[in-house]
Amino acid sequence: MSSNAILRCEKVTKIYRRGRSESVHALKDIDLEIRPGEIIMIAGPSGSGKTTLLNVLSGLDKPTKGKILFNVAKASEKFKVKGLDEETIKKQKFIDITQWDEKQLTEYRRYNVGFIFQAWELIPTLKAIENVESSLYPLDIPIGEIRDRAKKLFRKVQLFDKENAFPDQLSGGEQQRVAICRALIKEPKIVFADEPTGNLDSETGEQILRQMKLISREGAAVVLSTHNLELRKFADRVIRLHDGQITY
Amino acid sequence: MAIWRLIKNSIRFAFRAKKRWVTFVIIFALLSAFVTLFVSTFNGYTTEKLMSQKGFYIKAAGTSENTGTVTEQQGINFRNDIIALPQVEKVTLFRYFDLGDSIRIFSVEPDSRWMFLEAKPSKIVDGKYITKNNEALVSLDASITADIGNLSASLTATLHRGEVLSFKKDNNELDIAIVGEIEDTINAPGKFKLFVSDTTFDQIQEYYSDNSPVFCYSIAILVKGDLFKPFNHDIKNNIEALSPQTSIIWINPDDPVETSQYGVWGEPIVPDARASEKQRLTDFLYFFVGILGGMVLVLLYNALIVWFRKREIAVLRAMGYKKREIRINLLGESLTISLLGFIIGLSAMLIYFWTQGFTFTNQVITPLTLLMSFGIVVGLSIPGLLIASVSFTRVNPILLFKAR
Ligand SMILES: Nc1ncnc2c1ncn2[C@@H]1O[C@H](COP(=O)(O)OP(=O)(O)OP(=O)(O)O)[C@@H](O)[C@H]1O
Ligand SMILES: [Mg+2]
Repeated sequence: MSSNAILRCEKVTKIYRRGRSESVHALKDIDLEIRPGEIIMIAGPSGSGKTTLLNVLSGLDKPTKGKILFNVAKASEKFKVKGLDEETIKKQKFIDITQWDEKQLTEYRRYNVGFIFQAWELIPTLKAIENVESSLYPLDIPIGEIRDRAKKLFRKVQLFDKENAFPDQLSGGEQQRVAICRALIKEPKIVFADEPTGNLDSETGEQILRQMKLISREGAAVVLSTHNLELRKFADRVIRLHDGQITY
Repeated sequence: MAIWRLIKNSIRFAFRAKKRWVTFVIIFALLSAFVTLFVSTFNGYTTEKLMSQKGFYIKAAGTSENTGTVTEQQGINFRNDIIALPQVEKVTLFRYFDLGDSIRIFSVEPDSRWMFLEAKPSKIVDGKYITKNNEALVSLDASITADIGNLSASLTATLHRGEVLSFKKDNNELDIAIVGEIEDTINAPGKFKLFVSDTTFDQIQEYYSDNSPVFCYSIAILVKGDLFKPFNHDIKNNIEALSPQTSIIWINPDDPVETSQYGVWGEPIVPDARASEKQRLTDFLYFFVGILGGMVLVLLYNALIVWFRKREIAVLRAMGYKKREIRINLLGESLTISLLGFIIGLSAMLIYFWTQGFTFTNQVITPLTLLMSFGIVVGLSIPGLLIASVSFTRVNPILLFKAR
């Protein structure tokens, strides 16, 4: 395996328990490598485990078995791993995030991970630009710089005249573009998007994906899930999931 | 620096939210008004209710006439003997003397102001009660018409709040600031009444009045017993034991020895001890209902905020906000709403009181009352939100990956 990866998972298994007797193998022995700058598309029918996979990769949920290795050498500069000095980090490079506690996972997401949700999940009480900026509010970045970055992103996704609109004044495609800006403003290493085009018509969906492709060219890895295989042309790699397993 | 952005953001959350936040501001406004009212029933116990619950008065006989019936020395004898009784907590003597034909000066110690039945703080119409020496209250719209003999006093025809009364004799000058006007019920026709502290009273009497004789107007007696123990009967028992002693045994107008020792006093004016005990219980009930109701509502509201903001919390958690940062955001929102409600509710209530003829200064609502209701309505939001935010752990960002 190349050490070029930003995130790597080894034999990741997720079992959901339902009641006492029933259990669902949502993921079975998944091996996967995610490299900076590529768009990986996770495709599969409903119930195949796409969401579960994104959850465990992004540290929102823990797998039952297996390792999720994060390349700390490629982590955001501000990201510090508690209890590890720089020497060890250089030597080890890959650290298993499944061993981290909630606080460490929060830090991991805070500096390295961006999210784009299917239902956009913009905060309705914040204007478009504030939604984007809110990603950085808790970080030690001057507000002027935050504003500059947000404006630059708005220009990039062609939303410059919608900065002060509230989410309910925007179309679905516009909201999703705001959500993209919100994920990107902190310059994450990996962007996770679960069905980012699921609520959009196909034309708008393709437009969104084109924009995501532009973004990945700037270095972030994009992991997105879809059940629409027509969108494969935007991906560098397509991984098909079926019943929690990768099929080729 | 970052914390200010979070606070600013929380204020946006509060102000830009939909109707339900307006609803909550209104709820908090009502809550503030009610809590303040309920708390002020408690406040009554340090003020207005002090005498009606825990004390009684005895007036000197015939004080409306120009000469008093109880001399200062007789009043002091009376007081000294009463204070020696085991049921007594505090005794205050209210004295007066006449300055010329038309000015009557009364002593009211600021500490005992609620014990002066005829001139207690709730009777203030304008301004405030005296708090220290060289301050005076005047009877409402009283005017001075009399010639005050060989004294030179710079008096205008009427005296009002904000004016200064100067006494001059030889090279000595005493300036007394009129701080308030009072609706007194002292029956002394044609007298311009001035209420000052004991020290100022003695000073004027000694230096500026050619030693006019001092008389006693009334005596107020507080019995022992804790007002804040609603189920305790000490107060009732003490009042019932004490009032006959002070009237029947000690003051017998037909007994020339006693009369010369104590002067002639009227019947004690005693509250109905049983009724006031009942009143005390109801007040405490109100007080607790007010406080408990306030607490429950504040806690409930903070729990609701966490519930209403579930999706926002999930988004922020996914973004990598720490729990502390989310708490700041929600707390800011909760505090903004409750503070806004508090200000609106209180202003509305003060305006209402004002239209009813009460003023802030006659101490229906004191700073302590305000502080308590502020503590309940606004201050409690902090622990309230901290308790509610325990349920953050149940808000998992995973829910965001499930389409609505
Ligand atoms: N919290 C849970 N408890 C129990 N079972 C779950 C839970 N979440 C998911 N599952 C099960 O795990 C399997 C994978 O679910 P997952 O949500 O990852 O699928 P998906 O590929 O995202 O499907 P879709 O395209 O419908 O979103 C499904 O069989 C689902 O029923
Ligand atoms: Mg899914």
